[in-house]
Amino acid sequence: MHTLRDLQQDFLATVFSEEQNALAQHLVGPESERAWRADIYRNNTFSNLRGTLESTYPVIVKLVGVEFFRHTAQQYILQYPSVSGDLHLFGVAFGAFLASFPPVEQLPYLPDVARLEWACHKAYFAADHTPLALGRLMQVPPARYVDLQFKLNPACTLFESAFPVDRIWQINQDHYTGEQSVDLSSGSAIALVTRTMYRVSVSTIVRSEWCALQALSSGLTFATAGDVALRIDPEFDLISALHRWVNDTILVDFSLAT
Amino acid sequence: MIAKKTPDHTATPIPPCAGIGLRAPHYLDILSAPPAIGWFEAHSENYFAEGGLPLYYLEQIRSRYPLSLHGVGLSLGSTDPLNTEHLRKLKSLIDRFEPGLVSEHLSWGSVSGRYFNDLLPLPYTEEALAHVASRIMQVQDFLGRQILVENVSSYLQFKQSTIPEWAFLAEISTRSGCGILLDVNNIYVSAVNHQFDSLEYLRAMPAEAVQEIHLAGFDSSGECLIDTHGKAVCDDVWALYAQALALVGNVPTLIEWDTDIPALSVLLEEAGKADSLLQRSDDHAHFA
Repeated sequence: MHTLRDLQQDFLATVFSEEQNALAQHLVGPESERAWRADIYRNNTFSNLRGTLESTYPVIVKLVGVEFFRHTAQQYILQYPSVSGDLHLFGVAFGAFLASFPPVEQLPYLPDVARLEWACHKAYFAADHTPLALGRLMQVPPARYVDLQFKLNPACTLFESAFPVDRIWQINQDHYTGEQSVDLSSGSAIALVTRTMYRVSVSTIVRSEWCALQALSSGLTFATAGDVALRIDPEFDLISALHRWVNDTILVDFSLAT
Repeated sequence: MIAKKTPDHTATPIPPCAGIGLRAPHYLDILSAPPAIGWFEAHSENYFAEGGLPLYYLEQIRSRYPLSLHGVGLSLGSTDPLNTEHLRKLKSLIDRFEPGLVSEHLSWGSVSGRYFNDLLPLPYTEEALAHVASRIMQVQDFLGRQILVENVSSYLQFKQSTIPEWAFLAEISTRSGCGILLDVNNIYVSAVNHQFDSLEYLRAMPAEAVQEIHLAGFDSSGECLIDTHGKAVCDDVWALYAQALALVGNVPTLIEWDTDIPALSVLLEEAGKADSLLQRSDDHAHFA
């Protein structure tokens, strides 16, 4: 006697590992029909998950072409199961997967493009946050500035890559009209993914600023973040950077280290 | 003893007229010129994020229209434990948007922790009946409210099944106290695929439990009909809908269109057809 759980596990085996008989033994109707009945469910599942990856990774689709993307997505779906009924969470490991997917070995920047697209996806759905309360910040006595700790906007990701993937990402945006070529030897990308109101953006920033924000995001004090930036660029203007970060809602809250 | 807290405001009930499934391509059209439509239905999981633009749009639309929430990912019929993270997100969405109705599917979509993200059919057995009824009760307890459960289209039948789908659905409602979301298109699709009589299905529905109807379009794979939600409602389904209204009375009716999404005006036209059938059914009731 098969239980409901046996049947569900047999369904799983048939859809994801093509063990046709696992499901076929449970089905009504002639043997000849059982394969295509299972195929309908396999196609629905794969096309749904593939469509989710296509809409999360439009730049990768452009870079490798629709046909090749489908083949790649198929392999990803088999290796990285969906673990939620919420499809927005599917595709989190696509960058890591591409890094170990032999057919794209010749495109070493591809995994990082995927990681950047995932950062944009996360930014789009990140929690909303009110701007930093400037009035409250002004009340902090200057002697305590060194102890300030800041909270980054939940939509922010500090992104870096050995390849100019920020540039690759920009020129593959739908409304981009500028220079089309990318010099792959032009070096690394240091970028900030953020969301202003509801618009996600990827901006290239200087290393000193990137490192200062990284320090702040890991809970280090304003004084330490300043030291980090000044060690990279002795001219770094921490106060005007702070103004800009608050204005651009990159920093959204603060507290004083005790 | 602490007195029970009265809610600050209550959900807007879904009126017994036509509504439209809310899809992202229509957000701006709806807000720039709010159409004359009774209500909207949103897929719950599309708004599970912590923030961002979709939730902003849903807030705006909710402030103008009654809203129902329709889940596609809870996997009610799975033999895995209920996904409490999913339920928690659903509950906070319900608390925030105060929907008039909350619905899920009579199906499963995950096992051993792996999700198909699809609505898979159940075998209609005593074991499945007891399992699903108890899961629905757990969900209703967790959410603190009744849910509606919708019949799905299917492309296969299980040897184990001992109960007709219509009797299974009716009994699920009786045992768990859930309402029924009757998808007339799904009845039609499954009736053609499995050669049963759709009228027999409709007649088996406990009228008082049916609180919503879904209408959509389907495609054909050559071998069988596939529920794609990518076309207009077909004539046979409109005819079946009219029969459903005669049997269960006028209930909120949703036009679903989820793939190859056309202009909002096309959906409004479909909703208009549903409204005129609801009107006719109302007139019949008055003159009967």
